[in-house]
Amino acid sequence: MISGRVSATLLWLALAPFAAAGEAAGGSVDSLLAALAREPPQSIAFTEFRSSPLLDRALVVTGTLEYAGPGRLARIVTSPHTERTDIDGDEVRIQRANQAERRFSLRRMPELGGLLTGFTALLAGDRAALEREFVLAYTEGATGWQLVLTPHGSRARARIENIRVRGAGDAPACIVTTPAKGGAPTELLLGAMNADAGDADLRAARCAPLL
Amino acid sequence: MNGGIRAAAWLGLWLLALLLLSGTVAQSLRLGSDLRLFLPGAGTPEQQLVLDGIGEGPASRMLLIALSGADRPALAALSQRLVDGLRGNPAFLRVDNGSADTAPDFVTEYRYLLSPAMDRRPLDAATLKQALANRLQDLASPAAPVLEPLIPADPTLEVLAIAESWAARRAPQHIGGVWFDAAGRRTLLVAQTHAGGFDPDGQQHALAALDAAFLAARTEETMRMTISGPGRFSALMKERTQREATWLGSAATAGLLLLLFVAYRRPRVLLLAALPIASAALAGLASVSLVYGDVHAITLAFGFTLIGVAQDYPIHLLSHQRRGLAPLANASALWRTLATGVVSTCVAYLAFLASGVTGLAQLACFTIVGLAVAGLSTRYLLPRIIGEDFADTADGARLVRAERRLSLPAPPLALQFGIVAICVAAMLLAPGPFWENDLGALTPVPRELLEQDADLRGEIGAPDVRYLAVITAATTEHALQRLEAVTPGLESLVGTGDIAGFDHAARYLPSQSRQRQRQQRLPAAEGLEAALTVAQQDLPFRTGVFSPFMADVARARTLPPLDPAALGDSALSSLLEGFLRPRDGGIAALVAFSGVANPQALERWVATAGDDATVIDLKRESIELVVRQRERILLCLAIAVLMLTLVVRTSLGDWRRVARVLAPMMLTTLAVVAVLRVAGVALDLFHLISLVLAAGLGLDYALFFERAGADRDERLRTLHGILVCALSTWMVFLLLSLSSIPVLQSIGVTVSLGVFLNFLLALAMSRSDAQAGRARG
Repeated sequence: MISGRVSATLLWLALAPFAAAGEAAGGSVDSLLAALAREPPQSIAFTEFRSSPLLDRALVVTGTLEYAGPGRLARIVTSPHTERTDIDGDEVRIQRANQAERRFSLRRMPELGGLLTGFTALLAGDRAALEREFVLAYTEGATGWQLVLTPHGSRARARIENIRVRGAGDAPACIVTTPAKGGAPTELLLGAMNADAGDADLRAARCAPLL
Repeated sequence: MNGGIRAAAWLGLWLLALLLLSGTVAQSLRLGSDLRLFLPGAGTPEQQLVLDGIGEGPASRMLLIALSGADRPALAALSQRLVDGLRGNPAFLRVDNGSADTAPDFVTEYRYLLSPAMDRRPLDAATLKQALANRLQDLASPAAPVLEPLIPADPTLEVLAIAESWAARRAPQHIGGVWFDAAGRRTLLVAQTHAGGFDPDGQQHALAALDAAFLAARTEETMRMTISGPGRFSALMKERTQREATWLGSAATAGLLLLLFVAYRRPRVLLLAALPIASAALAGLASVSLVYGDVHAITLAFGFTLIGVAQDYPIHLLSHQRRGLAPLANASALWRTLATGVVSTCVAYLAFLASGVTGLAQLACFTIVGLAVAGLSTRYLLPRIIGEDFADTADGARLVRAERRLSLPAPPLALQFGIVAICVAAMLLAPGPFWENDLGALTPVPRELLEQDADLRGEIGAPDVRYLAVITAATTEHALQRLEAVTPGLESLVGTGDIAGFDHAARYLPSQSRQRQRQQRLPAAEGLEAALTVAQQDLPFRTGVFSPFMADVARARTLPPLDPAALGDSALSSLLEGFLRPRDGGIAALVAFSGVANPQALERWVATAGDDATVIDLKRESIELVVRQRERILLCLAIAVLMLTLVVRTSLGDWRRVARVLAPMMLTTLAVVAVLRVAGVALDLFHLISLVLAAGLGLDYALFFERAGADRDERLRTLHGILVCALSTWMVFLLLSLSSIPVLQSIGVTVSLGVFLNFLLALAMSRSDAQAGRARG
């Protein structure tokens, strides 16, 4: 149950990603999930690095993610252009200034769907929900922890290799989505420190796989 | 003994004839179920459109589906599973839940000829630069995985532009990727069936497929599917009519048998008395299938109701039968009166034969032949087999008591005129419309289903069914060009808010000349390459990424323009068929409107749109249709009343007696109309049929009472017969008034009321004559 959680009223945004590894992040998935759990609504800044075979360099956008409750997530881009994506159930709406709104079905976007499921389950501390969709692998190292979510649904597996969440203490720092067909992974850096996300070394330190 | 053998021989011959007749009927009878048989014939091209729309048009093939009974995500998932489950099912042309986003192949191939965006901007450096900047944002958005595969060949996303322009202009809200109603409680789908709306068997097949798919897709017991639309109605009405006809028929038969047993106490009589009506039914069926080919299911249902009158004929015979009277002599003595009744009732139904409505003409043919056969067989066949061993009904003590109890004071002339005055006043002064002018009221669909349909139609944003514009042209190409020419005017109506939207064929398939214009504006390879180079400057697209685009544009420059014939049997071609109707060797191109806020604006638009364009108010046209039909039927009925009066005059030979016979029926008709009016009922076609039926019965009663005159025993025998007749008819129509089918119910109420009043008035007025006779004697 969600009640009784110490940090329930705190916004995720307010938590520094590199906060000292607290008492919560013990050695197991359960204690990690307990530490990560938050009550909606939650809002967190992000910087996303995305590559495409059509492009010769990665695209970088920054903005905030707003989590409003199970299945409801808004992705608001503020730079280099403005864009708002709302996920509500199976429906994804993308709005941009001076352009007609576009609607998609979430089923056509397993990448986004996987991210949403992962996000929702992590914030709800719902291990059972996570394991319905993913195989979980937890690793802990000197610089923090890593949770690898490997989808087991055939549809998602055709598109996503895995979703890797890196973090420290009770805050995730980076979510890396690796596509199944061998393209470049998409990196989503979370938290207030994304201002210097352009620093490749820092990015690598926060997102690189923990072995 | 000898007589017994002769009677058995006659019975055998009769049964053999019935057997042969039923064999013929079973072989030749084809049941039709097109409800339009009961709709009036079209007088103008506009009215033809009204009737087409009711029958075969795309709107009639549309089933509206609502799913409810679970939370939104579960309903959205159910909606999707239902669509997936029905994909490829031959019963459906398409099933749409708002999530469809795959375009047919030819759209991709022909995108640069089909996209309206190509008229607004050429494929030059500026257009491409803007498009590539937007695609870059797309690639950084969550939509990247969906759009990325499209971009190399279609950087301007022309396929999406086409899909958007085709999408319903006033679509329901999306929740979870599928259509939902405004309250968010029901998810909505639209299915287009392969079968026409008035093909109940085809519709039943499609509905069964839909049910099966729903049961397979359902995950929770509480989930419900509601289906509406003409196809659902025709399947439902067929099923319901069959079911109700069965139980009403069984109940009526049981009641009739009981009544006859109580009246005559001879089981054998029950079977014999059924022979004339069985002959009537078979002869009626045979004649209709001979004359018309198809017999409508409703003709059968109504027809069997109407020839129920024929059950009276043997009853009159039996009630007058007594020991010492040869049955043939009895029949011969009754014949003049019976024949007058048969002929005058048939004359009334002649009015329907001339009504111009196929269903009514079938009904009239069935009834006239049926009644004639019943009358003749009661006169010439039945007396040969019943024997004469009957107790005289005039000796029945209970009957004498009943006669005394039923003896109402004969209404004096002043009272009769008073009743007439009151009825006329009630008819004229009662609030509400006198006539039902709504064509929809002629369909026997229960009102709550129609309301549910209107509700779903509103939620789904189906086009307004009232207003329609028609442009006539010699060829499809010319029609499409004309539609393109009037489109800017229509768009300005949308701009001013006079209409919410419009829809026509050229939105989906541009004219060949428009396609050629777009083709000519497409840049040649060198020009396109130069424009792309400029557009790609400072953008991170890899070189050579857009070569599929270059190839597709080059190919689009040489494609032969798309024409309707090239679309084959696709969903789009059936859509276009609905908008482009062949007419008089040319084409009638329809423009549908949604959300018409200002009909005058449509009139102003059509005034500037050219002589070949007209705006049709379907409601006004359908009212005119109904009014025209009714006027014709009323005229026919008026002529029928004159002819009927002449028939009665010929039979009775005295105008005063004619007046006495006709007065109860006229008064009853007036009173029933007055009661219906006061009850707030607007009269429709089926009320007219019922009134004629009740009048025919009343005429029979009056004729027999008139025949009995002042003779006490004859009066008692006549009363016995008419009591049995009236009670049996009353029972049948009371049962009918319990029907859940509105038409059957209104017939039931009208006729049972009419029978009741006719009986009382005929008895009372003949009594006044009898008293007068006694007084004179």
